[in-house]
Amino acid sequence: MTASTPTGTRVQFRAVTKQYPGHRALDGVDLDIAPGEFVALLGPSGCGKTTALRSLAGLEQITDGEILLDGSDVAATPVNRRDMGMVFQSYSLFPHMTVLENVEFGLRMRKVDAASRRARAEEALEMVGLGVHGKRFAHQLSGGQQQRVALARALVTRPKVLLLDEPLSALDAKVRVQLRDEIRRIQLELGITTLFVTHDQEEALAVADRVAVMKAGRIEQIGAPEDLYQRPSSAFVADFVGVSNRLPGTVSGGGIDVHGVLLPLLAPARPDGAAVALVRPEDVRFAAAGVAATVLTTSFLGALRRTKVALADGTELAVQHGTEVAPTEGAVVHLAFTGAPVALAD
Amino acid sequence: MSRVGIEPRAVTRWLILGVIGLLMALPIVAMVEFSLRGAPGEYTLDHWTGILDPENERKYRGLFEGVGNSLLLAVVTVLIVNAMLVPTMVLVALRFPTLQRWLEFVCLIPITVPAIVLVVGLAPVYGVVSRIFGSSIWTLAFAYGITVLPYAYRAVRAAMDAVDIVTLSEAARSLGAGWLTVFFRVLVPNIRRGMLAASVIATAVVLGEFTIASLLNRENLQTSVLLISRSDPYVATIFALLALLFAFVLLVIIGRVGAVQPRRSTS
Repeated sequence: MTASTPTGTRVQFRAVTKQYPGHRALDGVDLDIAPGEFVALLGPSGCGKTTALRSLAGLEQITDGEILLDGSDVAATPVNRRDMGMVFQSYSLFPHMTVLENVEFGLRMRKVDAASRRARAEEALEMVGLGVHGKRFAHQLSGGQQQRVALARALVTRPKVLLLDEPLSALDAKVRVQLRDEIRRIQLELGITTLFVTHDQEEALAVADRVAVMKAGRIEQIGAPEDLYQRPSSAFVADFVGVSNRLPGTVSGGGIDVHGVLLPLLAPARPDGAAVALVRPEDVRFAAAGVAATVLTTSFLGALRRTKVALADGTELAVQHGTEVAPTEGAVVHLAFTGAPVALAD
Repeated sequence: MSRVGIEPRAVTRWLILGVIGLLMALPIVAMVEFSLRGAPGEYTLDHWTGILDPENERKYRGLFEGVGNSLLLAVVTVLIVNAMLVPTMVLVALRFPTLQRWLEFVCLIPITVPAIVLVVGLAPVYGVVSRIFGSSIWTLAFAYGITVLPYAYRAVRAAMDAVDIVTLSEAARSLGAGWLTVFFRVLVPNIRRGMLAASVIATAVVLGEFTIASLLNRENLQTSVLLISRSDPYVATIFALLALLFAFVLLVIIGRVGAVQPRRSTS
């Protein structure tokens, strides 16, 4: 399948608000997605990420603000005329149609003639690796295959934007990773602007050009995956993206004192006083001397090992290290901090 | 494979089936036997053949009219159920989900109201209905549409619960389908079984309905059978048997249609 819009469509949210009775799902969301960009909306349940995606699809009417596609406000455009390709969290193939008929559905709605329809549907199925399954029905496919067909069905009409509403959450771990990578490959191939909603931070970091972390209807931070991980703008983002140890300390002179060790601050303008430092497990290592701790548990994770230790005051923290070191439970170790805390919490 | 659990032995199963089958078959066999009675101690097909005898046309005209009326009522009631109830249920499920419980409550009310009480309320309503639509027999289908609501609602609801109609509709809409296309090409094929079940139930209820028709002075199968039973109990029995057979055949046909698997070939 060839991309008809190689440059993609620009998507803009301007102060978008969605108010339900007694609950504000979106609270002045501003988001600018460049043509061909892959943006992930990441956040806990109820943060508004799905509402944002559904508002862009036209499945929800926004209360205030604007949603622009290539500069045009789409508020008055009904969902069936917005030209969006959408893959849903739950399996959404039409059960009474074959795989091929499912993929042809959007083309049929656009009154594409039968021959082109068939050719394009077969091409889309080839693209997702299911060319030979055209005559099957949804109930004859695995969950992963069904979502691939849903992806082909969403893309076959060459939509302006691809919307992915947690399409991997019902799949098992291995299939999830495979399909995730495949979605990214196809997205890059077609150059289609994509909005991907997920609550899985690993998924978001792995595929997106930029990740927007949402909290209570607002975008807390948006940036490249590396920025988000290494320079989170708040304790919430640091906690949500990656694993963080929370170490109580005292801020003074542009650093924070944690168990007698002065750690530098990424944003030294913080006023002096008590604070909690959020330290990544990979920024803590075992050393010959340093902060004493007792090993609680240790887990082998394949390429690395994560060990949970307790400091003298009872604070627990995770240490990520190579598999060549295998601490025994109950052993006394010493810790050194190799990086700055990624964020501070009150 | 060893047998486990509390499943009864084959003999017990057949015994239970036999006893229940006998209990259910007994009245039917008795009706057949009665319809074949001739002179004392003899059996004859005269009562059966007499129905179609041109000499008896005048005698049985009312009965055949009753049968025709009931079939017409069944068709109109099925149309009302499928044209009014199903779109309403879909609309509520998709656009007003908070009204689901109210709709269910309203649809189940008729089951709690005895037909005779319903008629008391319907009598003045039918004064208005007659002024607008005339007093043709088919107008009785409005009342029957209400009496079959509880059964039809449950049948359609069960089919709707078996598929995620919200996601299917949203998927179809996002692919460019208008509401009519969503309804007829995506939803109806997936709740077809429920609609068929509702139609069968509606037909069965209409064919067996007596109270409303009788009290509103309309003539249907049941009122005609009652009337004829006073002068010719054999024919009344034969028609009751035929009504049973018709309902049975309808159940079998619609059951088979509903069980048909999706097409295996693409167009």
